[in-house]
Amino acid sequence: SAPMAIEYQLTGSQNQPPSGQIKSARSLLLGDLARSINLPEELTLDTGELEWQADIQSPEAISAQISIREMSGQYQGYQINKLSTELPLILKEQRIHLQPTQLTAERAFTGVELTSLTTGLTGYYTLTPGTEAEQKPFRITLTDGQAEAFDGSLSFDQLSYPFTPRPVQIQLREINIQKLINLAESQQISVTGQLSGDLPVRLYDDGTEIQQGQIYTTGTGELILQRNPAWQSMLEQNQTLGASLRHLNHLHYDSLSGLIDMNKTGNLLMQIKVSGENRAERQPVRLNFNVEQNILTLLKALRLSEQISQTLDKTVQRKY
Amino acid sequence: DELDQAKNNGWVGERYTGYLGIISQAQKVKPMVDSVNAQRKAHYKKLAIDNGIPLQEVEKLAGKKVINKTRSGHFIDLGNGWVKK
Amino acid sequence: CTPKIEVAAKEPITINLNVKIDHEIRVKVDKQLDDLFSENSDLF
Repeated sequence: SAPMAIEYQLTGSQNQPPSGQIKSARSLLLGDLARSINLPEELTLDTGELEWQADIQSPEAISAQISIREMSGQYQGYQINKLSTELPLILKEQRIHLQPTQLTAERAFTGVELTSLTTGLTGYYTLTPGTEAEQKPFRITLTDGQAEAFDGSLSFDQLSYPFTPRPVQIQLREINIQKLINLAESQQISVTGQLSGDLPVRLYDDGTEIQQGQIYTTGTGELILQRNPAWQSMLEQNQTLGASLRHLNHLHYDSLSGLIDMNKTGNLLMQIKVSGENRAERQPVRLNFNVEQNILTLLKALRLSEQISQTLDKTVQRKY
Repeated sequence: DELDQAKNNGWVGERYTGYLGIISQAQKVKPMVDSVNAQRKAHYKKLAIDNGIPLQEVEKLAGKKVINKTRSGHFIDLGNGWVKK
Repeated sequence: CTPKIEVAAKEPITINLNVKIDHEIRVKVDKQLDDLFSENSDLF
């Protein structure tokens, strides 16, 4: 197993507690470390290096630095690639404080592909059980999180665990609508344009809620259902309905906006209003489009199918 | 069995379509490949009907699975030619 | 010159569309395929 080689320079005498420095002799390969300790069955650490160093001025004044470089791993279909961070820790009054620091990762996969992730990080761990017995003895807080997704960006102001009642403000900017739709609907529905949104997300231990999230397009676009076989057959079977719905075969929209609500079970309701025109017939159209789906089930289905092609990538160079 | 032997010899391989593909020795393996693919199609059709989804959806999911389950050393076609896993 | 016929802009029509997407099926089919493969190792 990976030898825990350490180096130390400590000074001290009988009546004086030791002081000085202890550190890892060389960087620890996380892949080896993972193999030498039995991680939970579905957690794998593939790459990454870890180094640590502790400085002891006195038993009450200890500071440490843990640095993690390019850690990659996978847990039940969730993936993280090249996560790096420096964790400056200080022991003060029976509490280990994580000084404000930065964490970055090249890629993360949660059913949805996120790249260029960064977030601020801080927190603490209380050594002696505090009076607030029921409270967890630690807190970790992420601030100004940023990631790229669907050709656009996703960001949040602050997220902390244990969860607090304060909603996390998630912002979507310039998201490619087509890429979003391709996740949920593999049929041929084409929608062009870019979507932005502000979603207040409430996090609980037993689920996540979105209350009155707002989404809106920035600019114009097109909705094309012409090539969707299910849609065409529906139009044919239903003449009366088809008379108006056929306008959605090709609609140029000038505005699209909507409300998003999701309950703890992941059931997401989107109420979208589209104002546009079927140019072929110069017919102005107002579309009220309500779509309901379970996002957690969708993300699980995506992780299931991605898990398959992800392991595929490892064994085969060519991407498909 | 006959299928494993054909795979070990590199005569047949799994395709992203969810069906077996012939790489070489066609006259030797074609009967087996046609039979296996016919039986697979019957199973996929049943799954499609049971779940009320198009056959292509089942085939697409099956395609990912057969490729993933392929042992290293056997051949797979991801849509751009045979590749040794 | 040919007289230009001014077509009054048409009244906008309103379309209400309610859709419910069930993703559970994909997870279910995925499981059923696993069972299919294990029960028919001669075919897969």
